[in-house]
Amino acid sequence: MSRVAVTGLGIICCLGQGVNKVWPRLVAGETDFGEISLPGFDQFQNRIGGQVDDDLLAHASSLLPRVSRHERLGWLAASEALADAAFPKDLYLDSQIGVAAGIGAAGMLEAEEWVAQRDDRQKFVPAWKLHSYPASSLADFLAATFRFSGPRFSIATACSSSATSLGFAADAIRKGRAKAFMVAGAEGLSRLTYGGFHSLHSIAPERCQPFDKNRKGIFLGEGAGVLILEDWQEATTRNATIYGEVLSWGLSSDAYHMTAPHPEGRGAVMAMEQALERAALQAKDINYINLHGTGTLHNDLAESKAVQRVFGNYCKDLCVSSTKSMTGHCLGAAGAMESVFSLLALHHSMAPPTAGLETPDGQCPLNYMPGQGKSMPQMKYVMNNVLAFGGNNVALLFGKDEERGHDD
Amino acid sequence: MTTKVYISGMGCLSGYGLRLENLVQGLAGHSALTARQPLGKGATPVSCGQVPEFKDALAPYAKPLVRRKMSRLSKMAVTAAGDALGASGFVDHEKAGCGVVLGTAFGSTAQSDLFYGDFLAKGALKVNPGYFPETVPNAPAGQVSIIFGLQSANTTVCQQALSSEHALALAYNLLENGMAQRMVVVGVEEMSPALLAGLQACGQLQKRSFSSSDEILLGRRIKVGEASVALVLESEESLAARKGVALARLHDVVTAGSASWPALYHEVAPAVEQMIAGLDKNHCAKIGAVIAGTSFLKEVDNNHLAVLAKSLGPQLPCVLPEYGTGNVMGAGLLRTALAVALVSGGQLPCRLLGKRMTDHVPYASLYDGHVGQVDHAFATTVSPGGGAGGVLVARV
Repeated sequence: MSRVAVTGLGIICCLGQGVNKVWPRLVAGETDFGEISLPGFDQFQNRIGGQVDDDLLAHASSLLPRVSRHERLGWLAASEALADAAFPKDLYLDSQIGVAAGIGAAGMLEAEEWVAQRDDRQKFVPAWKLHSYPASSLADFLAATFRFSGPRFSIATACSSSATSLGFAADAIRKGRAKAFMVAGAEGLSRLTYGGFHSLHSIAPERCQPFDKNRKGIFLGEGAGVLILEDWQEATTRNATIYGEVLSWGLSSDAYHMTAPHPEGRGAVMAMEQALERAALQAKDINYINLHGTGTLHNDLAESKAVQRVFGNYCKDLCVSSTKSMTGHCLGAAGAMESVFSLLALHHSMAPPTAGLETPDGQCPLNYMPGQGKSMPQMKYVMNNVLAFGGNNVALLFGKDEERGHDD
Repeated sequence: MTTKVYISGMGCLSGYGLRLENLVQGLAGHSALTARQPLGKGATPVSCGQVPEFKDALAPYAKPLVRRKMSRLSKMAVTAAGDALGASGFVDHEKAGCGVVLGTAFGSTAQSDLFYGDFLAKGALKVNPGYFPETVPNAPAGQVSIIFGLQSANTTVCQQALSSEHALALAYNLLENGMAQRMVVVGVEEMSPALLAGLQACGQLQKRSFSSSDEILLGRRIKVGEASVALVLESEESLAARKGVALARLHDVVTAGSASWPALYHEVAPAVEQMIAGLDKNHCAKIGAVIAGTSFLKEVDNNHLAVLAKSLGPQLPCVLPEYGTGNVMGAGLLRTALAVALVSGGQLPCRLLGKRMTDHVPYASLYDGHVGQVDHAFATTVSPGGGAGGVLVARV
């Protein structure tokens, strides 16, 4: 079976556009949250979140006037990732390149406009606003735009969508079903999702402070993360920059509750153990975990317990953090964005911090790295944990660009 | 596909009611399409294959308090999954090692509309939070995992009319990797008044007045239907360990074709050709019957059937279930279930694959024969947005 290299990365979020802009700010523990200015958000009491600057979207909006906000975000990150991977045009047939997307609410923001006028004919909203409503719209749009006709699928498992997409896409390359894959996660803010979390009292009023004793909930964000995966042999032959290897992944279900994680993190444990087992690695091998880390009490406790269960005594050597404390929770895009951060951590041997963590919570005893990022020259293996509504749990495992034995 | 994967249970809800037997029987008789009213002022009735009331079928699986919180889409998924798991004969500890992959094109549009309507009517402070969790497309898979205690993989794939084919492919991948021993695969689509309103506004739906229910009119618009179908997939080892009985072997799942944006249909023929080229040639030669997805779009259906006839042979028996149920979009697992029925000894109404569809066909004259048990059956469809998909199942 083939090994899987990550050769291109693209990112856009409230911290900015592009790896070169976002990564230094992330490592410095910067945040850039503010009041969401999208139409209709003024009725929310607390409307702080991670909105992407309109100026960053202006170019995409003029080029792509009839596509949704999440597709524009996805297109911007995809363009960066493809340019970064820089594989020659004739290296692969179009049919050898797949597209795997992960979304949360897809084109909900635009669909909301149409629905609002459906029963009130005073304001005309064209039906093309609905074209991006299907969850598959991002994958179809990117595949058509970049003319990739290989395997194409869209995962819609809320917060774990794009992490799951990445796992399946890597498997497809491993088994020779594709030579390369564009894995994209994109999420635009919408009233439906914001209203949903708002109604559940999950949104923090002032600050997002994962793992802090005084945490009050999440900040929602928007953005996109895109990764280009390639067959290892092809990538090394053309001397591509390899950010890391997709070693394995784990996927499990809590089978417990629609919105709350299992209190002991049962499903998260299964996903992490499965990923370790499939990569033939041990808990002590992992240097850094990008946690799901939403900043809700239930998530923080369950995830911390799960990590303690899997890593046991090795927790003292393990660095973990929540980058959602700086990007906000970007739902369907979170898995891809945090995979981008995990691979940058590997590439630069630098673990990003958890922002806003000031008062440690005794029930969360891990090394969450408050403040600023930490240089970790020994960093070799990184895990990305993603949990979701419906009890979905994904653990992705990445390794440094090094020769290693074949595990599969 | 080298790893041997078997299908050991099926559950089905369609416009013809509960159970696959009723679907098979119904297809031989009449169309299940009836009139349904989309939401919104000025919306006109459309033809739609609606799943009849099924609360009695759901009752054994979900208590009233649980049912009250579930969307109709989740209820449909749970009912089909429960029937499939029951048919497989799993005991509780075997279910824990089981996962779920669900395919749906649109998810729960009714629930999203309910929540958003409440939000618009009452505002952010008074909206009912209980409506929100079921708006996410993976809620039905979550409910299936919670209600039946399935602790292995859990995911949801949305790829328009190929959602079910992708769900099967992803489930196969998990079994092949050893990431799960058993998988429930669900294909489900609900044609809510909100979704019908959206599809109608986009000019997708045939008006009710265009034809009566029992006339198949091919043109530029579709007729839709809802369905929920579940299959239980097992590795050879799992089946042997619990001494289970297989209905069929899942031989191959192929998807192919470029994307078009916005969704166009001009690439149907190349996509179907590419999909068939992806099949193992030895297996291709053994196909004894085709279950073909149809949409009521003249160019799409004729191109799809013409390429199938050219590639697989015009004399092959062909079943066109969606002229009876309506185009079931992401619930295309219905076609695979019929293919399983055929290889496991069932009988279906059929016509010859190469027999041309005219623009206007009375449903009563759609089929002119029956096909009995075959060794290999191929379920296939094409999708808006580009692409074609197929599932090959074989007799055990």
